[in-house]
This record gives sequence, structure tokens and C-alpha cells, in this order.
Amino acid sequence: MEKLLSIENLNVDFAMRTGTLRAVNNVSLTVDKGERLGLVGESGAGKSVLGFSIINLISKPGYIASGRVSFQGDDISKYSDEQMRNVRGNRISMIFQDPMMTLNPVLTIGVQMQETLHAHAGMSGSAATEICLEKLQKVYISSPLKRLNQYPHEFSGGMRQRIVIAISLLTNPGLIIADEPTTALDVTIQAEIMDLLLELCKTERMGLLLITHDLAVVSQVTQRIAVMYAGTIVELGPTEEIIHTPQHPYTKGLLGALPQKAGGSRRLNQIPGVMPGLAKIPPGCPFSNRCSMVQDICRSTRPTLDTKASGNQVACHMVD
Amino acid sequence: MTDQKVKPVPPTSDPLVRIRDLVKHFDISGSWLDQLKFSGGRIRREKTVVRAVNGISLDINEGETVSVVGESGCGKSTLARTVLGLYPPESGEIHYRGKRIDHLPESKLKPFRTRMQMVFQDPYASLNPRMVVGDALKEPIRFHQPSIGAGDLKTKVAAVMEQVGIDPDWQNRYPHEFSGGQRQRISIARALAVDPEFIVADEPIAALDVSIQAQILNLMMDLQEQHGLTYLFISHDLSVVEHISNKVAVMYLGTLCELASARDLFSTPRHPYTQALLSAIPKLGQAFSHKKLTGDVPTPIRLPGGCVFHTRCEYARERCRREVPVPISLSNGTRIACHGVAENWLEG
Amino acid sequence: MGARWQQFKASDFLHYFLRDPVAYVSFTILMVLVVSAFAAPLIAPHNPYDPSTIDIMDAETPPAWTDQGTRTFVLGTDDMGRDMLSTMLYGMRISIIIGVGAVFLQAFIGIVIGLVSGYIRRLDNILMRIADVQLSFSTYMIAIFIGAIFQMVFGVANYEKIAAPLLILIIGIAEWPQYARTVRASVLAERRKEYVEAARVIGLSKLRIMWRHILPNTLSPVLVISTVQVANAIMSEAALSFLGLGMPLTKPSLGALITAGFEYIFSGSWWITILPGILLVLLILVINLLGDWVRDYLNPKLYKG
Repeated sequence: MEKLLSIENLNVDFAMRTGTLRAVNNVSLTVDKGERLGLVGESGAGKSVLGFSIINLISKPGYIASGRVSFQGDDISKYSDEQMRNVRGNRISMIFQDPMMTLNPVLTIGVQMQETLHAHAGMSGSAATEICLEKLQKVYISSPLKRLNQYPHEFSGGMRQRIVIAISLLTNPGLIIADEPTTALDVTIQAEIMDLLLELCKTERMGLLLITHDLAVVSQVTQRIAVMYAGTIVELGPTEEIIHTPQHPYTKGLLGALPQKAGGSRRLNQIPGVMPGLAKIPPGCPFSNRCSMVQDICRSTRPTLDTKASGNQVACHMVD
Repeated sequence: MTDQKVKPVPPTSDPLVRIRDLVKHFDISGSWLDQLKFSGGRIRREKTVVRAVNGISLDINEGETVSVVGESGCGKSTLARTVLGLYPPESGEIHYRGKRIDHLPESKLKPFRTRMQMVFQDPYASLNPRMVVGDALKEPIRFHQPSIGAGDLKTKVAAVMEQVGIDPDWQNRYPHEFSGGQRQRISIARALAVDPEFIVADEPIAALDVSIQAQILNLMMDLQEQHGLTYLFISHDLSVVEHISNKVAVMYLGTLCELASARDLFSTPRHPYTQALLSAIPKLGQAFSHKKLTGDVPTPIRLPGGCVFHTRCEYARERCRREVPVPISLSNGTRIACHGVAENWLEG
Repeated sequence: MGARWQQFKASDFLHYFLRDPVAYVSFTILMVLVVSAFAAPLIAPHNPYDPSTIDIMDAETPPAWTDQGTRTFVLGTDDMGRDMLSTMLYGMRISIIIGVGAVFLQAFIGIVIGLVSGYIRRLDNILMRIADVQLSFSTYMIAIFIGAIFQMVFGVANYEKIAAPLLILIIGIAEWPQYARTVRASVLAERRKEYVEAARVIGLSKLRIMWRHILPNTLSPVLVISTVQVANAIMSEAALSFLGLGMPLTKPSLGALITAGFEYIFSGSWWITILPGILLVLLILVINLLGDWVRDYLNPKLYKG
């Protein structure tokens, strides 16, 4: 069956004055129709860059150096600006971290929603309003008719994020890319929003690419997880497996550093060192300078993402 | 479980820091022109007041780690800053080692400044971008010990940098040349430079990556052991709080809902808000099972009457709407402000 | 110092500067103008201020490249017989001195008031209202008042002696609110930041915090508006001189020269007003272009690739 989203050997570079830096290194991923994939990593790993490059939103000095992105069978990495505009916000929607940045503070919700419908579906007037109300109800916003005439600042953070989700649903997209959608929200609101996203993906049969650094959230919402480090995917597999039996040393370290995993001791398990900046990635395996299992081959040869005995894909020489 | 990780602290007669009925409001009305509002056909003058902290009482014993948790708008950051004298409270008292320190003029407060310090949340904004880190560390030492010699000063700065894991040779670098985790270490070094006893940490790891969080937390706990520090730890990350605290205080809209030992709070939360908060924490590998709270979070400008939580509480009754609950002490030492608990009509 | 120079040579600033033709061409032209203006006593072929060297018979000689021009006066002479090139060089010197001097004064007053206004809430309102009042007085009005009063009290001859410092004073006082507002906006943003709170937790005094912590962080916008303000100040002085309120004809600035020559356009001696005009435009243009470049460079959001 054709995949909803298929990323093949994607490389995204940044042309800096000191040289070219590779932010996304040979990444291959797929998302099935209705599947929820989590992209996990710390800041600087390249996950946001990857998310943006799917819909070609990378701005200079970044650019897609090579690779392919296909969506519903079309190669969208080669699309022109105009063709891409037909995809963004229409067939693929994106949700960002801070709803106050996504929503225009000087336009009412109604105008912003109808704008989207007008641009992509050519609708306006009462037909458009119908759809807006329907979507607002789907995200459990009460008195939707009244809300259409309100401005973003009249809503709380959680409600704004719901509105952003509603806007992203307007055109019945096949895929939603959510970049840290709940990081800026309180814990209780976060739980509600993630719950909502989960429910919507199931009922609307939408694919979800959830980009986050929060392992606990991703473990509750996604079916598969891809772990990213310094621009590469180091581990990829079903959520259950990754959370309970991680294989790659970085994934193990990341999970082990959580307070829940400190066991009886007061000290947390820390990974020594820091993730290297793009200019300082070591040759060979990018994790080699922090790994406790490092061998010579790790320092010289970059491991590829291969399927290992467990069934997961892991990029590590030390795992069979 | 928690007691094994965190060293239990024998109660001394006097707490290091005693906070009694602290109230802090912010008047954001603006100039008198901004206050005029047209309503009901007449022009009236309205004051807008943010009631950030409304009557908090808390004891912090020497050597303890007391955490204050709550969501945005609950007033925990305001509480932290008021305790350190950055804001004068409207009413209430703050005692340090038995001496009253709220409302002291800056000159009298100066000797206390060496004993109480603060670590901030944002590693990017907590260091002066135009000052090399060596100078940032020298400044507090020189301010409190004006007669210190140049050699001694240098030694002290190098020592404190090594303690937090930063190479002293990097003294002449600017903050932007360090990573977020390193900047946070430098902030901690700045707080340590004056040999404090009491450190208020306002979300010190919230802005850091997971693997760096572990490093910084370990550092803070090591330093606590080495120097006998007392921490007031402000955070919204409950799993971290569970791991490092002796006592936990839960705040909602400026009021203390529940104050209990970490073990008691996480195993048997009594206050409905605490229960909802704990159930909302995403647990690794488990499905969602959180208690949905009805309604929106009210703002600290227009506080609900009666119990501040009643608009979202599933157990709320008439009394909750009318009367502010008085904090009571339970048998295990937990202090809680809830009519339902006091009168025993909460289920579970 | 060697290390600093190495750092500068390898810096982003120099790199982008050398890559942008507008930047380095403007800079070169500006340097040529400034150096020749200040080297006027050394390089000017004549001394326009020494009455003994000026012969009224030489008046209105056209530039050297025309038929009636001579080599002695490369750009011709003005209506009093002064060599145009020399007078323009000296005049440019005066224009630059007044422009830069006025900006220093504006910046000084503005920074102090902006700092105090932004950091000490109680004084904010009153200081900003004073700034508003100041802005509502037009520079020309102030110049007329002060100029007229001075001439009345001290006589015209004395006025000519202190015209330059007086102009610096007038333009400096007229424009300080620009700086005050810019600095105040920066201060309001910086004082919320945690490093300022940290300084208060240490116990530092308000004065020390303002001077050592906040001020250095407000200087970037000050730099950006300063280039524009220098250009504006030079233009203001030119305008004032054009209206007869500025530099006297005995020690003319470029603006005064333009004025002096204005009526002669119709009688055919176009060079008396046009040549200083071109020089003035060129000076202001390169200052503005450089200022634009600096502003773009300091803007972190613009693409640098």
C-alpha cells in the first residue's frame, strides 16, 4: 500500500560563511495513512528542520541538498512554490509551539478560519461558516458562533491551541505535523490537548508527525518513534519497544536520565557531555564522543540505520 | 521510596525561613487616565490588581529541599521573589533565622543578601550579555567584601567555577559563547560565590534539554551536600520534584492548596487540585488517565469568591462558593485548605 | 591589543563589510571627505578666512574647466572672491564638527534621561512629558529665539564667534528626545530580564545596576540611530544656515555657502551654490548608506548567508 508520507535519504544543509553544515543527514522515514509517528530529540537535533523541510518551509541559508519527499504518491520535494502552496495548510497542516505566534492578533478567529477555506477550497459565506463551526465543535469549543467574532487574546493558551488545531482540520488534511504543540502549555492543559489530538487522528484518519522532546507525551500518543541525534535518526521502531527496550546507547541514556528511572539513588543517570553543534559533529558515529560502548569502528565509520534482531531499526555498530 | 533518596532532616527548633500569611498584589492600573472606564453610561475609575500571592504560610527548615509546584499564574515565581526581598509584600511576614526581613531598608538587608541567593530559569537572560563571566562572578564577591585582594578574588572565582564544572580558563568569555547548560552552571556559580545558606531556584532546569537537566540536578544536589544548602525549588515538573524534595507545596491562584512531605503528597494526594495535577502528568508508557478539569483557568485579576479552586472542582458545593477554606493540619503533618477534606465529604 | 586586532580581522563584521560594495565604497568616500575636511589647513590651496589674501576683483570667477576659469581657483570663486574649493573644505569641516558635536550632546542628554526614565518609574511620566514638550518646539523656532536673543544681548560680532558652539547647543537640545525614547524602550525591555533581578538579589544599588548592567545593553540601538542623527544634524545646520540663522558668512558652513550663492544662480554664477550643494548631498548620502548598513548588520533577524 502506498505510504502517506515517504522521506527518502533527505539531506538538508545550511550555507554558513564558514562552510556548509548538514542539519539533516540522510534521513528516511515513512508515515502510513492514519499512523502516528513521534520524532523525538533534544534541541539542535534537527527535528524541527526536518519537519519544516517536509513542506519546504526552510528559509535561507538552509536548503534541501538532496533526497525525496513524497506525499500521497507525489514528489513534493520538487514542487514549485505555487504547487507547494496548494499542499501546505491544505493537504498537510502544521501546528506550531506557540499559538499566539500562529494566530494573527488583529484578526478575529472567524476571519482567519475563513481565510484558509477561501484560499484552499474557494469557499466563502455561509458554506464556509458551516465548516468553521463544525471544526470548532470537533475541538470542543463551546458557543462556536460567538467565538468566531472574538480575537485571539480573548482566549486562554489551551483554547488558542484548540483553535489552531481546528484551523488545521478545515481542509481535511491527510497529515498533521505538530512541532512541540504543548511545550508552552501547562500540564493539565497539555494532557487535554494531546488527548484531543489523539482522538482526532483516530476519528479523522489523519496521519500525525509529532515532533517533541517530551518522551512521556510521545509514549502515550504515538504508534512508532524515531529518535534523532545531531541530524540523524539513530533508532526507529514501535513505541512500546523503544520505551521499554531501547537499543541505541543514546536512547537508553535519554530514557535513563528521567527522574522516574533513577531507581533508589538520589543521583540521576546523566549522559556525559553535550550534543555537538552542527559544526562539531565527530566523524563516524555522531554519538561516538559520549558513548560508553564506543569502539574504533564507531569513530571511523558512520553506522547506517539497519533492522536489527529485535525488529527495530538502529544505527549502531555495537547492536546486532 | 522518596525518603531513601532525600536525606530526612531532623526538625530544629526554628525554621531557617519562616513565611507567614504573605500577600503580594500588583497594581497594573496604569496612570489615572488608563483607569477611567466607561460602563453603564458613566465614567468610572477602576483599578486592575493582579492578586498574585494571597496569604501563604510556609516553614523551610535548614538543609531541606522544599518545592513549590503549580501551573502558570499560580504565583510561585512571585512568592520566590518576595521571599528574597525583590518585591515588598502587601502584608505578612518573612523571617530569616528568627529575624524579620520583609520591609527592611536595603542597607539593613545587605548582610542577609550573602546568605540568600537565587538561580533563575532562563539561562540566556540570567547573565549580562555584555559582561565576561569572570566579571559576573567577581562582582558579588567584591560587593560584599570590598577589601578583598585581587589574588584572593581570582582564586575564589576559579574555585567556584571548578565546583560547577566550568574551566576557570574561560573567565574572559562572554555568555553567548557558552551553551545553555553551561550558562546555568555559571548562574549557579554566581549564586554560590557569596557562600549562601539558602538558595531559591526558580525553574532552574525548565529551559534545558532532558539530558542536561539530569546533569544540572545532580550538580545542585551535590552542592547541597557539600555546602549544607537549603533549597526553595520552584517547578512545574512534578517528576523532578518528586525525586528531590523533602516537602512539597501545591499552589493555585496564589493560595496554598496542600503542603505535605513528598512521599505523602505523591502517594496520597488529598486536595482535588493536587489529584488532578498528578493525574495529568504523562506517565511513560501508560495510557492517558487524567482527571479532566472543567472550565478555564481563571485569572489572578478576577479571583473567584470562596475557595479559589471551586470553579473547576468536581466536588464543589455551596460552602466552597461562599467561604474561603481555612488551612488545617492532618495527622500526618499535611496542611490542606479544602472544605471537602475538613468535613470529610470527598470521595476517595 | 594584538589579540583584539586578530579578533577583529576574523570577525563577522569585517567579513560582511568587505563583501558589500555599498558599505566599503561609502566608507571610503566618507573617509576621503572627513580627512580632507580636517586636513583643510594643510591641503586647501587658499585660506578663505584671511582677508588679506582675498581680492574682490577675483569674485565670481567660474571653475577651471570653463573658458573664463583659471588654474588658481580650481572650482571658481564666490561673490567675495574666496576660492570655492578652500571655502568648501573649511565649510565641510565646520558642518561635520557641528553635526557630530550636536549628536554627542543629544546622545549624552538623551541617554541619561532615557536611563533614569526607564529605570525609575516615579520619574518616568514627568520626564517623558518634558520630552514631548521639547519635541513640540520646532528646531527652527528654538534657533530663532536663541539666535535672536544672543545677537541682541551680545552683538552681532560676538555672535559670529560663538556661532558654532551655539548651533551645537541648539541642535543638541532640540533632538535629545529621540535618544531618550530609544534608550528608555531598551531599558524597559532589559530591566525585566533575569540578570537585572540577579543584580538586585546580590544587593547592588540602583545606580550601579543602571550604569554597569543596563546601559551597556542599550547601546546597540543608540549606535543605529546615531548615524542617521549625524546626517540629520548636518542637514539641520545647513537648513538653519540657509535661513540665515546659522553660521555667518565670514565662517560659512556648507549650508551658509549654499545660501550665499543662491541669488547668483540667476545671474549665471551657478557654481557658488551648486558645488557646495553637491558636496553636502554626497556627505549626507554616504553617512546614511553606512548607517543603513550598520543597522542591517545589527539586525539579528536578517538573512546572513
